Amino acid sequence: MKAFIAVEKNEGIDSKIDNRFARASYFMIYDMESDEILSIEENRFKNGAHGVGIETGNYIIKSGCKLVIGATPGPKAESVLRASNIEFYIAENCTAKEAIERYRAKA
Amino acid sequence: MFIAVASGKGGTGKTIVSTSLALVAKKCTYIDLDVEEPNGHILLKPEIEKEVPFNLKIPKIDEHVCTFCGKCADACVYNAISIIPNLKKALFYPDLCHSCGHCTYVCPVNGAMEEVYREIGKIRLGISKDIKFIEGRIDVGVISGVPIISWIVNNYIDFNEINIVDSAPGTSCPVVESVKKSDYIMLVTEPTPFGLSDLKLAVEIVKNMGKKAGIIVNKDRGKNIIDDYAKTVNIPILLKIPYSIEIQESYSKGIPLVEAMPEMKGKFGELIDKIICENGKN
Repeated sequence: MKAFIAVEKNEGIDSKIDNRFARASYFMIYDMESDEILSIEENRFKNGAHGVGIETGNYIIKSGCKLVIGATPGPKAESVLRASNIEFYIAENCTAKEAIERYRAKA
Repeated sequence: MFIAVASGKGGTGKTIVSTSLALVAKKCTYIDLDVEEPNGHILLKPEIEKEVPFNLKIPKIDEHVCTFCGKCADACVYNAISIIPNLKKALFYPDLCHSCGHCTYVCPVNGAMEEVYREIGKIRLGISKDIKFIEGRIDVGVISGVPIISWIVNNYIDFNEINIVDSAPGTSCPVVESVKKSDYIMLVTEPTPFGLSDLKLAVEIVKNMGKKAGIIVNKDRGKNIIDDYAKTVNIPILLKIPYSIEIQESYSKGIPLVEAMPEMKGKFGELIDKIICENGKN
């Protein structure tokens, strides 16, 4: 399963989770089976005026990720993720690595 | 003749000035284009004769016909559409839609998308003594007042008559749309650092648009920071409304300035005659 993780910096698995979800600085795609980072991309929607939550949501749908890890999403991102049945795990004040560990411990 | 009353800063007295101008001009049209919070009616107390709903076109997606290709969502620069192909869902967010029509234009599937109307506000038409009253008003939460402003300017204004437009504060699209077709802009400000700072922004708009303009200083207490600035940008100070408790009291009771202070009536009368004489086409 591929996971979408919204992070603050491009620092690999030790990147901190960004405290803004749809407007996070970087988007990481992580393979939960092979435990590897598939990609880290700069969030090009970050400075959009309106509807960034929907734009990020659409991007996640297209990425094919079934799990999303990040800070509490805004209402628009949340509505897109809910409608698309994508699992959302809220993680704050930790690194991507810690967030994945917490998610697994919970599951 | 189209006189627009604008300001950078809110609360400087645009409505006091524009209603005063309308009351001294007598046979004229007063148009409230501060569509998010129109309140000229409080001072002019018009008799409303007609209320016209204002609609915008929005897309309607038929999920039974849609192939969920996502072309509409990709085309939407306002991110108002979300397509979830695997679940065959199409989400539409009307509050983000700017009614550009791009989505229906790019949709390759016949019958999957059509344009329907969504009411976003109302245009109220009425009369107050000899003044024709027009007001635009958008519903709470509507993303932009520009479409209703542009519709009113293009369909309700008779440019051969005297029109006084009360615009929104600020310096963004609704203000630009309100003053775009004006012959003259009156910028209302107050002699405070806040008034001056925002006046400078409003002057930038005026200069950018190549419009003729003058400044009205409200709550004036003698020589002030606006005087010096006006000289440097070469914009005349048309009128100063004194800082006075009587004006504040009459305003708080909903009495127009020119009715509460007869001496102001003469001053506004001279002002509008001068502006029409120097800038009017008719």
